[in-house]
Amino acid sequence: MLQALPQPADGDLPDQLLKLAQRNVADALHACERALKLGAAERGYNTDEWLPTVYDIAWQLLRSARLDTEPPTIAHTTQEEISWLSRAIAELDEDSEEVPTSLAETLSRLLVVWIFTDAALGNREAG
Amino acid sequence: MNDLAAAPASASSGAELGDARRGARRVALRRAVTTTDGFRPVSRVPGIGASAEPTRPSSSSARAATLSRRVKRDREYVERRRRIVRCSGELLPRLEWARAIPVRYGPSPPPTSPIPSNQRRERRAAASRVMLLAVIDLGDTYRRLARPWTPEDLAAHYDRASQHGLRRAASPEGARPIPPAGQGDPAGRNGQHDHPHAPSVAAAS
Repeated sequence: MLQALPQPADGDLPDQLLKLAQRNVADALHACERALKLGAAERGYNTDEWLPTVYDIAWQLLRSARLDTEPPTIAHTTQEEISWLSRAIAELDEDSEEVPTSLAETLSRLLVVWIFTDAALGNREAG
Repeated sequence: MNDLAAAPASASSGAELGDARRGARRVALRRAVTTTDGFRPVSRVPGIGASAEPTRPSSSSARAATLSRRVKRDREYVERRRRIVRCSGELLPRLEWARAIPVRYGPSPPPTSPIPSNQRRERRAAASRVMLLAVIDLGDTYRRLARPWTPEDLAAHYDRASQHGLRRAASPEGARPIPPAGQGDPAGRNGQHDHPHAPSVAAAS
């Protein structure tokens, strides 16, 4: 959406969209983190064990972030994030063992999108 | 052929007559060969070079002058054809004589646009400026993402996002409890739906 946005239409519109995306990412990340903690209490695993996995997946995605791919990496990451979140919801409903894995995949992609919005907002403020 | 008739009539013997006629025939043939081979038309395009009957030039300078005139005429013709084929869409309809020449080779002329050319140029320049700004902005953002990340950096960002979400969940704006499955009420008024044909709770029970 940011790529298709006409720049001179409204100067504040990119900021508004970025802040809205950041708010939604924060909401979703907090909700997924809460689900991970609730699952850890029920299934007997530690939430902190999964955080290195989240950082590792996010690191790989950031390292391979490219604008000249189709779709660009962040757009593709957002699509994957929705896919992993849907899978996590279905697995929670089925009481599957794969719930923490799907939640970690979702959290890593949410973290990447958060970092992207943070960098874009910082870039606009600096410019 | 007049040379054959002009053979000497005073020759008495048949051998002499035959020699004279053969000599006249050789002269006539040499003249005919000189006439056809001495001048070759420059172009075979109808109406330009080939239609005119080649005539024997009186001298080499006259022959050269004729050749140069024909070459010049051919070049003008070729250049005119080239202008017709390559002319823009605005010029082509104005050329009455160009309508009879179909475009058989090369790209067809571009369609005419109702927008003046200067306005088209301004629009293209504005669009390119917009694209450049958007691409540069996203390019800078992607370059920031491409920096080396440490687990501590990522953990700091994760904590910031988590705290942001926690604050929003605690605020009235962010508190949007999702009703448990089976107890959802889209209308939010105890089964009083806005749709006139929607079944009410009392009617269903």
